Amino acid sequence: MKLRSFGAVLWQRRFLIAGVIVVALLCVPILTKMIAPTYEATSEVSYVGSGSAGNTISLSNAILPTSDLPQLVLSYAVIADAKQALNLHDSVDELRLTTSVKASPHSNVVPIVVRMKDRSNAVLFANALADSTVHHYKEIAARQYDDVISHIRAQLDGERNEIRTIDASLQQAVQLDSFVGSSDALDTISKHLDDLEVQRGTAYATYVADRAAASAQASGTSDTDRAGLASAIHEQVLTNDLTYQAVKTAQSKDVAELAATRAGYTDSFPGLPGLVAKVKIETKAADQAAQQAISEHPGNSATYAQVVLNEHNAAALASGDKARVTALDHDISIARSRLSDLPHVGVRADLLRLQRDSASAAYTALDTRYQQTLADRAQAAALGAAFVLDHATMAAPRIPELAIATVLAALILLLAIGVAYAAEALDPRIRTAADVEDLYGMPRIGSV
Amino acid sequence: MKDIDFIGRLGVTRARIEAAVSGASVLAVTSALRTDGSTFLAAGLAQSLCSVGHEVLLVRMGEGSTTDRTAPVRSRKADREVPVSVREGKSGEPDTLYLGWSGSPASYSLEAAQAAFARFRERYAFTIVDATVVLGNGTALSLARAADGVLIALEKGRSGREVDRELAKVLRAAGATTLGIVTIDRRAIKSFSGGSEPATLPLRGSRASAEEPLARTASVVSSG
Repeated sequence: MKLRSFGAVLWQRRFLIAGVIVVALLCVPILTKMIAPTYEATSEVSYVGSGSAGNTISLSNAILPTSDLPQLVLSYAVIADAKQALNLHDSVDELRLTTSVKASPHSNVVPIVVRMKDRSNAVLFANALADSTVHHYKEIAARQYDDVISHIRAQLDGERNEIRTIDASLQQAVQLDSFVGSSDALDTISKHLDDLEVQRGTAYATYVADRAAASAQASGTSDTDRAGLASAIHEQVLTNDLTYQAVKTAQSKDVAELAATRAGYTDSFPGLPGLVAKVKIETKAADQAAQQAISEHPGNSATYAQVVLNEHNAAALASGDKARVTALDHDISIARSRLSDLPHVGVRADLLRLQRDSASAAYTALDTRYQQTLADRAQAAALGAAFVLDHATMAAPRIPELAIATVLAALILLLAIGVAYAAEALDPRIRTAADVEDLYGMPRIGSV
Repeated sequence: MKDIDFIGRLGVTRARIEAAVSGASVLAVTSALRTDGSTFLAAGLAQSLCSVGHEVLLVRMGEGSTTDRTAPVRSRKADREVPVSVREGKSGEPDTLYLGWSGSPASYSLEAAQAAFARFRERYAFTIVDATVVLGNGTALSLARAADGVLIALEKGRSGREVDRELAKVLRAAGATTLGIVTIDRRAIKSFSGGSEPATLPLRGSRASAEEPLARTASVVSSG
């Protein structure tokens, strides 16, 4: 009965229904153009973990369970990185709403689905999300080693500082006594002392000999030598003295001129006395210049200089020998003092040395562990479990056109039926027996 | 357009009415609006009753008595008798009595109507009074009150109005016996002309067959 009533209403309003359908069909193209379709792009991230069957690469402990990957994909950091990479203007929250991720416990492939109005952006953002996810996943994979590395590094720094402290203490001790730096300080100091004493004996003997030679050079030998050498010294002095040579040259010239005058003239030659007097004066001046040169400039004689030099060298050699002996005496004194102090200074140095050896061993062990951890971290980052299995290459409309057409047809049909029923409900006209009886409160007995 | 079997529908309605009344009966046909098809129903019903062998008198009220707003002033002589000069119909057609036409008073009292109906019952098996509208028309209301039953014609598909409720209320208050409502198709009303002059029979034409005018009406509707 209800079906008949339904059919009757539809038949009664068939023209209205047809009109609504026609109008709706005319509007469909406009609506489909006004409604921008949503495009869907899918990229896939694969996860290599403990649960991966058949994979040759498998980590003993998964960095993240597969079920947590959607949270990673939808995390602020991952989306923000992808957004920044594409320079998108949408907010992170808006982008998060466009993204869906479904991880299956039975599959290691995690699809990242992006729905956007812009077809190319959907593809790009899906790929950017996949890349960003892998990047962050590797970071997380390596981060568990970072803490260990940081801890080991701190320990290494501590050990290094301790070694430096010990070295400083040891160096200080060594500076105080160079021999405490050696483990066989007693032998070294004893040997050093013996050497010093041998050196002192040699140096002292040399000193004695040199001092004797210097004395001989300065006294006995010089008297005889200098007497024998005096004429040679005077001659060298006069030869090298320019004043004497100038005076002597003038005097010799005038003597020659005097001799020539006497040979040509008689003693009554009026110019002779003057020339004789000039020669006398020049002779006297030459004698004075010779005395002055000998007394004031004996150094002009190479022989004299050699004699003086020999004397000075002998004296200097003796003085040097004496100084060396004195220095060796001082070194011997210090060595003896160190030898006497060695028992307590050596113990402290040995203790420092032991501490340094211990610290060095600890440092080496830590460094080995540090290198191992770095290697593990690199391995974890390289095999870090996640990689982009497939980039999105295209974006398809989210709802197939056939589905849209079907839905639209159903909606149009429902709209038409609804309009028909609404028109029926709002129609005040009297059509049925019930309408008549409601209006008059009397039965209908016929219809013509 | 699909043909509508008005004759068949009238037959069904007539049969129900026959079952609802007993013996010689006077039935008044009225409506809330003049356009509801009361004249069509009265004439068609009379024709249908004739077709099954009944003696039928069709009482029609003249133009001057049918319009509620232009209803003539009721006669001061309340006991004026209803004229019984009936125009006999042809074979198979109802006899006709015109009230309110020229030379006939337009207003009658209840008693006069009752007396007239008593005489009609003596001769006719059915007296069908075309009372058109009773609201504002005292004669029509008197005829309806005096009738054995009242049929209300209602145009199918028109909007319900307050006047419909008013009609039901008036008939109920007047003590009229309402048999029920007959809905009339708009196309039947439009194709039917109830006659604008006394000399004309309710249905146009003068065919010998009682069903012919209605059949003609149906054909007009179908062609329209």
